[in-house]
Amino acid sequence: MKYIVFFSAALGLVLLYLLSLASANTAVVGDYYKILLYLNIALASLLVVLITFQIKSLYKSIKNQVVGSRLNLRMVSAFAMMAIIPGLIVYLVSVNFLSRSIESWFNVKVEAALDGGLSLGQRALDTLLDDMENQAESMATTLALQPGLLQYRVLHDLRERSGIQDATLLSPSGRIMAVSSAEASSFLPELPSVTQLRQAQYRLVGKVEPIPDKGLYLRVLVPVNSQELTGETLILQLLQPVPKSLSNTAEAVQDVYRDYQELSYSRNSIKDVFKLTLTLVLMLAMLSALAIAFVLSRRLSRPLTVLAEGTRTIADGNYSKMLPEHGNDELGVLVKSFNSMMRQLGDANKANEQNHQRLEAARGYLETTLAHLSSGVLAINRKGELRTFNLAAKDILGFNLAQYENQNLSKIAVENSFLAEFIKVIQTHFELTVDEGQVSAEMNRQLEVLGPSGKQLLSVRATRMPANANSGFVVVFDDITTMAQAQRDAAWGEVARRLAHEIKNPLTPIQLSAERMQHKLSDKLSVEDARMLARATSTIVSQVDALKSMVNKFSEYARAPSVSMKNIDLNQLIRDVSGLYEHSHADITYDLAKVMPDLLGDSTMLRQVLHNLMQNAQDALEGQVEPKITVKTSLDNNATVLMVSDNGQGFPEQILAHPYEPYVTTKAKGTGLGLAIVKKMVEEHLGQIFITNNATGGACISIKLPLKEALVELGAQKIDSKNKS
Amino acid sequence: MHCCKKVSLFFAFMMTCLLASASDHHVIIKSADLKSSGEAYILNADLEISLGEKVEEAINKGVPVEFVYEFKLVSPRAFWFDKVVVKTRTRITVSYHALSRQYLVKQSERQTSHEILREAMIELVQLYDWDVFERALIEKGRGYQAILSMHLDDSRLPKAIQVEAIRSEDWHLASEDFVWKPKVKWLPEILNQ
Repeated sequence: MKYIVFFSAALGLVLLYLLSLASANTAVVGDYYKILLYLNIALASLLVVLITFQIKSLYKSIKNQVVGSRLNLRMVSAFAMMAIIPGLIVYLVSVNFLSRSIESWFNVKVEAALDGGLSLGQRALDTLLDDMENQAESMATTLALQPGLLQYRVLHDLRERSGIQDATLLSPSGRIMAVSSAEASSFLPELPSVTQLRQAQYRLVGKVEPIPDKGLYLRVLVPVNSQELTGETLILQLLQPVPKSLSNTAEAVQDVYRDYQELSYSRNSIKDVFKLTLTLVLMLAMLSALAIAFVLSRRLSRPLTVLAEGTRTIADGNYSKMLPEHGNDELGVLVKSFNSMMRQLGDANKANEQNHQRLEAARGYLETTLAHLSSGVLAINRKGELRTFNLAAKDILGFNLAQYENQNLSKIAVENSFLAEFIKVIQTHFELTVDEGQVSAEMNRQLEVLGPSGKQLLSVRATRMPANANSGFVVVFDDITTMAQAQRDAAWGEVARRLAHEIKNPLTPIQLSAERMQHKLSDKLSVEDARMLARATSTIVSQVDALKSMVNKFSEYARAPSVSMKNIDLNQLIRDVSGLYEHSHADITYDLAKVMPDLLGDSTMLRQVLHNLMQNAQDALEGQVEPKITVKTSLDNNATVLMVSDNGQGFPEQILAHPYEPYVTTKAKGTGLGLAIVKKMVEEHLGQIFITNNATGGACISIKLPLKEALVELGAQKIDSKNKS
Repeated sequence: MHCCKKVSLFFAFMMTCLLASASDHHVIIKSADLKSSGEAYILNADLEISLGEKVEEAINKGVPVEFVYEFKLVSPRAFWFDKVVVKTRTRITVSYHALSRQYLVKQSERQTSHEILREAMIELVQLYDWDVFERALIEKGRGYQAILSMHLDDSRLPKAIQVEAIRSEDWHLASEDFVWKPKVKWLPEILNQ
């Protein structure tokens, strides 16, 4: 584009120069005036097309909001103004001046002078011609008197005498009869035209004639009427060049006159030529200036455009793009400083990003650690609001803590009343440490909480965070219910095992001694004594048996049973066991679920559980008027529920508080181990046991056993927690 | 009706103007003929020229006006442009010699002078014995077409008038092509006669 513009401008200059030469009437270029005119017009059109194209592309870039296009437009307008306004002024002034000055060339005086000059010349020539006509007439008269043969000699004499250059005698048809010439070189005289010949037959014809290559001549034709009877009329032609001095002057005057007339005739056209030339000059100059303005403004605005582009890339967050170098001027320096600024920014940004990543990694590490911690963690800020919590906290407390985020702890206590004590303990410690500023103070407490999933024993530790870390609080708590239970179970197991061992050892010798005593003494004693002995030994034996069975139960409780899990149909198991209670004094109702998926369990254990529950119910109904036992199975989400209820007295309050403690019983003969064993077995199956009293009276024991699918999941968790404990 | 009359009157006026302007200056080639003369063919033609006011005025003011006569002999070809056998021009200049008060008509070397313009124009309207081509150029068995045209050569006018000639119709003086089939014969055929 740039080259096209400059080329057009240069071409325009050449054409304009030629055109101005042509306008100034130079012969060489004058002939090509029209061609030049057309060429100029063509060039102007080309420039118009070029500028239209440039304007269009500029408009497009403005529309597309290309950076720098508006600046470009402003510069182009400024340049165009700078070129067009002075150009127009010069143009208008020169056009006005030209038309006025051209008009001043033509005035009446000059024209009159030229006319006078011309007519002076004409008059002079006429005088010469008159003289020559007189001479011709006298020559003709002389010739007419001469006989034909002498005519040539006479003609020659006459010519010599009169000093005329050429004298020719012609026949009326134009045939040359006789010639006499002062010029030795000319063979043939200039002959008159047919018309002239015809006219000359009757009268004298005199004319001033320009003859090509020879100049201005005076030609006189006169008829020669021969005196002879047979003689035909001849025509005498006299040819005399106009004296050089006169003819030159006259021709010069005529040339000037002609030029003047020509100019005067075409004065409007001349004005038009000048106007046209000027207009073309203006147009070409303007258009070239405009086209060059486009190129220049683009050139000037390019570094700014580049800078603006750079700024935009920075705004977009891209620091890697360097701007191209741009000369050594101020703009170049600007570009250089911009580049270095961009580099620094890029470096800073990179460092920042790295820091951010490091921070993120640390955070991620912390979060992952927190999330996989089995202890619940609550972070509390200075205002006593919950900042963060981990997954374990949610699991242990049994509800979603997310809704309480950035809210005061009291709100949790209000909405979850079972946590009131837990929260209170934390808040108390919080307030204590806040007020006293005891940074190192740490609280360690164990709390019993009655959550939705039963009683939980929580071990709570609360610590104040260092002052710079938003000086809040971290509460870490563990659910130690299972652990505490396991410890208790283990203790009881140990007691039972020892007791069984200690008690069982002397039992057999006692029994054997008693039996032996009876065997040896029964014959030696009187009937009465013998009966008494028999009664006493049988009491001893039966009591020892009872003791043995009690000890066996103890050891059973203490023994860690090996569980062998199999697919079990609970309903079928109940049906099998029900056979043993057909003759029970109580009325047993079976309400079994129609669809009961298999569960994974140890059939012996479950059978034992069922026996224990049934036995308990039967024992509880001793002496009841209308004893009734209901055995019911149902499905609850992922678990099977087995419920055994009776219409007896129900559990007394003190038992409900600790129903599974060994040796807690209401029965006269009971060991208090039944429910403890049941609970142990249910726990082996990862199940739950609930003991309640019916509203209508009587006790209800429900056992919730997870289904096979749920078991897999639960098992994994339990095994984890067991391992930990 | 009245309106119609007005419109028709206006059109009549316009037509008259057009005709007037058209008849003001024109060149018509009335007849042209090729004749054999010795070794060459010569052209005789008869034209009708009306110079128009502007051109006449310019001539009277001393502007030399040049007319170009162009003769072309073409041989038509079946599937191609016609073959131009001969293309020749002659120029006749008319000018006013103020000193002698005569109109000069100049055709190559020949110059004649006339008292009045109409007389001078006779030289322009009657072309005599224009030697246009050699007889030897004619080939056997070919058809030929002769084309004659004449126009005012405005490129030889003074520049100022050239500019006027560009925009003014008055200076556009040109005939249409006069086309005819000349009776030309192959050289041996003529010799045989």
